Amino acid sequence: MRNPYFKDYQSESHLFKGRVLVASIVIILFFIVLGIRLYYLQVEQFTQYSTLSEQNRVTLLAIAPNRGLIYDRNGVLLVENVPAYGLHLIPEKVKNIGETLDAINAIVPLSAEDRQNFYQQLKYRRRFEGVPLKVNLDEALAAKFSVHSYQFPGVKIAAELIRHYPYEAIFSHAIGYVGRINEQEMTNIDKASYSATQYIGKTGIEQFYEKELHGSPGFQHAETDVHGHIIRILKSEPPTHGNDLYLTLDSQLQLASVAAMEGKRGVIIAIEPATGGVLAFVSQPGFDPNLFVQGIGQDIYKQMLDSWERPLFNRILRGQYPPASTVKPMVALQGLQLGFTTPNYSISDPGFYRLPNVKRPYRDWRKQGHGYVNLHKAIVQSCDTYFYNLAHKMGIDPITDIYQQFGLGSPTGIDLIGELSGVVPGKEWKRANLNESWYPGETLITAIGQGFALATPLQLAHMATVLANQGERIKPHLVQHLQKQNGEIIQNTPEKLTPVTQKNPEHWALIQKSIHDVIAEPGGTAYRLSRNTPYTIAGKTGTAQVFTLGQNEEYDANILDEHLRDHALFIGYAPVESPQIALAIILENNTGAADVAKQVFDNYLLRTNS
Amino acid sequence: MFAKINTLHRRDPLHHNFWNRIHLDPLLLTLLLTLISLGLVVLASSDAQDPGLLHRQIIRISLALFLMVVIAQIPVRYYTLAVPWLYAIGILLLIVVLIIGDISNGAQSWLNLGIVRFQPSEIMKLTLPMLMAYYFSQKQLPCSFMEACVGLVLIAIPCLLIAKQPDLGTTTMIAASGCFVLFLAGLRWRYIIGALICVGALIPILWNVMHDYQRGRVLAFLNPESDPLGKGYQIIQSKIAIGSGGLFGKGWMNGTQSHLEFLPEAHTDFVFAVLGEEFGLFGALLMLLLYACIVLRGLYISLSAQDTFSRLLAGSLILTFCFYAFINIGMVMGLMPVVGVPLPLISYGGTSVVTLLAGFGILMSIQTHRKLLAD
Repeated sequence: MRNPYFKDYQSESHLFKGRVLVASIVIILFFIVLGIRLYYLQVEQFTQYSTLSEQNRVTLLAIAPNRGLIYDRNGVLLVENVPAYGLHLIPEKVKNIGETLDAINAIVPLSAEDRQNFYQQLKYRRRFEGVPLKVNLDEALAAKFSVHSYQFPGVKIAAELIRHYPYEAIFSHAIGYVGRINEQEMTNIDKASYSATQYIGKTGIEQFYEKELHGSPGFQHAETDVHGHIIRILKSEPPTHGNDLYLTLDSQLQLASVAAMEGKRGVIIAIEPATGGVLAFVSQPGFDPNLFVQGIGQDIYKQMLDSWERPLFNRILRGQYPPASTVKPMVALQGLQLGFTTPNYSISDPGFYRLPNVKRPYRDWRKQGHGYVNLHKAIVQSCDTYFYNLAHKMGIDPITDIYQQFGLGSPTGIDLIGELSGVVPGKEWKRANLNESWYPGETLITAIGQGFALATPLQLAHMATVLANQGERIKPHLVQHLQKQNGEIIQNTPEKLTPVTQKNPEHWALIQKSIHDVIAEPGGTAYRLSRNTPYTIAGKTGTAQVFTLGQNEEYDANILDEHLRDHALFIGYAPVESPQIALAIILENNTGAADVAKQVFDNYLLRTNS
Repeated sequence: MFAKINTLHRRDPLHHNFWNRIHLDPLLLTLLLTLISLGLVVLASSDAQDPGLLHRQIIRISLALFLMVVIAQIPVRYYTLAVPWLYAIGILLLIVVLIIGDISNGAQSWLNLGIVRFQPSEIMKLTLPMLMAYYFSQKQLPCSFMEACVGLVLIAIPCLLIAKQPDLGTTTMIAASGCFVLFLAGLRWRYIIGALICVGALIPILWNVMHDYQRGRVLAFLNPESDPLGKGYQIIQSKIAIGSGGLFGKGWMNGTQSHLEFLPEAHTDFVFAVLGEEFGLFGALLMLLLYACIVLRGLYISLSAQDTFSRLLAGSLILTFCFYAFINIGMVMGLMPVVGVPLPLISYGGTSVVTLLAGFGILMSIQTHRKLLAD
């Protein structure tokens, strides 16, 4: 072994110094690189990383606004929010969602629908936000789950407010209901403003006034750690709760109307003529909107859809019925206006009308006829023959015109969605829809509201208000005013529509007298209503054919299937001198619409006047 | 100033200097204590999440400092007598740990002796450079090709054993410490360049040998954004922590990335990110400066060493220390892949602090026992 002390000490030392020098240079270069990197991260990219750090740290938690309440015109609460227990799952904290659901199922039964809803909502949520698994747990189940909750980190029971309709079916078709936001709605709504909301108006007022009722969410800026635990709330913006709605509906009248419809199918729609505010909105049968809030079971829903009584069908907006004899006052008005008839002109009615050169007779509802009939009597006794005659003289165009002036054939524009137009037939209409020319016989039956003519109950009620207002038209509406959370009230001003052009007050007076005498004069089709009535009623009855009889057949309700029987109609208003309520009533496959009307008038007028 | 006055009044400063008598290097000691204090300040920020953490670390550091002082008293020439044996024992322990060692963090690296639990690889961190330095001190430098090959074998044996645990970080460190001796021993540049080319060629082979988690780290390093919630998460969060610190930082104890646990391993491998977040560019540069000063002081000590063994040992130890810091800081700033290497003297944990300060004890011994050469 070489002795180290005899090594070439000088050269070794020189070599070592050289190597250390190289190492020093490299090290210094590395330190410079690290320094530059620090500068790059902390100065050049500071803004970017600072933002990322804030995003890490601060989570925006949306706070759902409370949905606005709904009251009737007298401040009676119709729709409320009630506290309920809901089961929520935070997916970040759950390892295997499927297994967890199965495990929960053993404690809180989850229907296939609950799961389906859950998975759907899972797609549209934010980080660390609970997804509702089951809503409206009863207290027993909530308590039962609480006992087991330690087994389910990330699943919690949350108290929330859910929509409740204390009147159940009574207001179902007017107010509608809310339900879970579905996929399609999710694409249409502003996701930010619905970030904490789980329900949306599906039908009725709830749907039409969704924006007003919903409000806007509040936000909590929460400092959260990596596990999503909230360390503290940095800033909180309270939600703006939805506006309360005050409807024009009168809950007492609505209840009385529903009671009057007990066991019947059809509609009652009552409107305040001066304002267009809807007082009663009954489409029977109705349904319990509470079923839809929590997600209705497939079976019940299918049963409702398939029922021949069609409880989910909003007859007032979407039911299209032949207006029948209720149109006669309008035709009479147009006849007077255009000079096709006069108050004194009369005909002899043999019980039918025959067009020139046409064999087929057009029959009056009274087989033996009405004898000598002038305009007044024609309306009071609803003489078809008189109107066949008048219609033949006028032709179809003035009839189409007057129907349209009264608002038939187009939606009234009420504050609900889904209103249908009905049909006002005419030459153009027939050409466009059936590609056929118009026949004179069709003019006759159009003049008595049969044939192609169809109207919704809402249009008929609107027509009644136009009669009551002597031509003035006001758009029907259900919301009187809305009240913001700060107490500010925003009135829903009645909107005037193009009035009926008939200006001669004598003609209006004549028509009004005639329809008043429908009730007041012996022989009037609703004379029975005058008994024990301390106020005056003007009205017009109607009978709508559902099933067309053969030429020589007799109508006999007893031998026809129920759903083929005639509908009973009544339009009218009261009191005649200063109308406070106008209405339209249709009883499907039934009789006695005028009697139902009396019950409605009584409730409204005798109560408010007492 | 004080040192200067002493040199004026003492005839034999080397012999009679107070610091030489207690065998400590005042400049290096001051720098080390400053760095350690800065580290403890940063760690205190993590104390909130894990109370007692700071306390435990202070005890460990105190023990390690004591060990450093003790080691500084031992003249390094004594090591030359024992080093082959130390190396043999180290290798033996590495074999033992592979058989009966405890597994922690996926690596079977801990040996439990009942009262003490330690990593035999730590011993090797000091023993390997010592043996290498001893070996080359016996040769005429620059070393020959054959001598370099012997050196490589000496490196390879412990490295293969540690790689088997598997502990990539420690393997790298120990291999580096051996290679630094080779470098300082004057391994010819053509061999160095040749070796680097070979390493380049070996990368594909290494890739196939690597464990999945190691590959993941490399992939995450190459493109952390590709898997922000998985493998790239640590690097992204670490960069966010540092970047959001800005010039002056968010303030002590106010680092949100670490306190809200977005930054993983905030008190161990990623502690530099906490410093960057809470103290900003100035805090981080201060730490870099301290490291640079310690490294330069260490290199000065190695240059002033009077025998080849001391020089090679001192040089290798300080370069390894520097390498540690580069790897860790580079990793935390996204310049290097995530290798499980703690930030020297700062990261929470006892083992590395003990080994590192023992190394500084050796450096101080080399610096303060120089007079012995003249005897």
